[in-house]
Amino acid sequence: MTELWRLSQGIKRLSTEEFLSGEKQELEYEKYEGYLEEVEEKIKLDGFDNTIDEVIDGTEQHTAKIDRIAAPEVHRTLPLTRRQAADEGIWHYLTVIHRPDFVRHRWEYNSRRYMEKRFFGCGEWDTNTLYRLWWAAELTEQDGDYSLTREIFTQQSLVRAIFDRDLCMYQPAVHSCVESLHESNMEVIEETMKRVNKRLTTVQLEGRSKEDINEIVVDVRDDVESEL
Amino acid sequence: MESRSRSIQRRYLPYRYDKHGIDFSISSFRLDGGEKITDVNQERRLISLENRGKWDEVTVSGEIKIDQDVIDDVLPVEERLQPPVKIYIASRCEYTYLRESKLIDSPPVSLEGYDFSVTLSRNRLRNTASLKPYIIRTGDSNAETDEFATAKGVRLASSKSWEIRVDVQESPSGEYLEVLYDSFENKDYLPEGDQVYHLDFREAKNPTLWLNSDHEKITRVLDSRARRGPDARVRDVFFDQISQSVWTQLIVHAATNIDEEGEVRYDWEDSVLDRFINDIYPDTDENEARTKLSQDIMSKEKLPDITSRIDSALQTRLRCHENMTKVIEEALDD
Repeated sequence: MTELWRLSQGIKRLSTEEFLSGEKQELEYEKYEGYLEEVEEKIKLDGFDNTIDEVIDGTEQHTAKIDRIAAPEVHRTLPLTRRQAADEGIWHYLTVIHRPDFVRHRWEYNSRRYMEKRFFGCGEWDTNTLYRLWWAAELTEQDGDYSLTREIFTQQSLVRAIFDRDLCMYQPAVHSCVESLHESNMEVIEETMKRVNKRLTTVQLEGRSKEDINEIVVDVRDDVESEL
Repeated sequence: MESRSRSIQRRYLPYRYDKHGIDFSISSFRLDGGEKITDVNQERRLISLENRGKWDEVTVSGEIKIDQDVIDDVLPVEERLQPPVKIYIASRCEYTYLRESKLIDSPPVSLEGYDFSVTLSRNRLRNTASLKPYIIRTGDSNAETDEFATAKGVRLASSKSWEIRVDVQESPSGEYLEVLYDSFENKDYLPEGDQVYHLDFREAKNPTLWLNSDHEKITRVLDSRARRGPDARVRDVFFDQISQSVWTQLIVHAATNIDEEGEVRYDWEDSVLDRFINDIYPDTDENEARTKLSQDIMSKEKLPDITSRIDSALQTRLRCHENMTKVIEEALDD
């Protein structure tokens, strides 16, 4: 199938050790047929599939570098609205049925719980393999420019430090944090984001521009760097 | 003053904050610029759009008012005549990672009140969104005070939010179950009384978890899709409590269907046993463990031991202690 579908709730019933570990690479059609549903607007997946093939061919498996290369391309070739992208059913379709090979290429099986999250997770950022790439790109892209997307994935600690926090919902805050911290080391990133988050608990983000937030982030970062 | 957690700060910020200081009311809305619709639920502060057909934009209208009492409450004396504040309305949708704002007014703000309208695009929303007004400082203050906020951008007053329900309420996603809300009153397939949930095996191939929508406050927490903060933490602990019972029932049902070859009837039973059998009987071959489980579950003598094993397996797998710890940390410590 080269069109996007979605899977209904309850698909996790098909989550087995065999599938998650890769012993069984794909689920049988008869098993998941009953969960397939059409999406409101047709989206072709040919471009997406080509992108995924290129990423798999061009990257070493189980490395974080895959995210940096894949995220902009996944976002570009899946022209979803935010409303569509908030539908967990489409992400489950893409990871469990359409391209489980990409999930296995990115993540090494180390436990059932861990792999279940990568195939069947959704909602929280660091779960579903493709959901996390698409949303990271959505929140860092600027008019078709994905340079911040690539920068945020230079370090997993940066992407987690930002997306684990409420401020990730406010794009100017995401942009500011990525620009200010993408060249910092893990220790500086984690301490800076912890303090920035604390400072921002009394500030209403929506009322602040990117420049306002930059002042806070850079100020805190400089303090942290001087202390460490 | 150092406050230790976000949940405490909401009740007790380190400066004066009037969380219900803004009079914020919504009177009507229009869909795609069409006729004015006044059917809004004032008591629940709710606009229901889920059964209004297809639309692309909703424009919500209402009034915002602040009075001098609020200004006097949150600003030092020298700033009260010309308050350095602006008023805006924040719109949020957790599902679509959306945080936006609409400026209502900058200094000098009026105490006469404002009519406002906010337009939201359906393409950027899913499930529910919220609108909430804020008054924030527009500049730093030189006042020497511990009582009032002095930094630019700090929030000073707000109001209860309004909810915009965009889609039919999605039940929480169950792993192996349909999870559905319904009133338990007068339903012959649901138990009477105050029960919060019921696991329904009438359709054995697809068991259903019913959540009792008569418990409005509980279902609102269970329905929260917050990713972090007190709402998320309390919801997770509630679900852990429900999960313990539900998983126990699922395991027992699956166990009673294990045949002599170690096979079960339904896919979900396979998945459930797959998931827990090694924790119920560690160091035992899986097939042997299934056979043992099917025997033990039928034995009067073995029943206390097997229930203890199942409980222990669930606590190991579900890691309830993590969510309990997060609730404690959110409430007491940042």
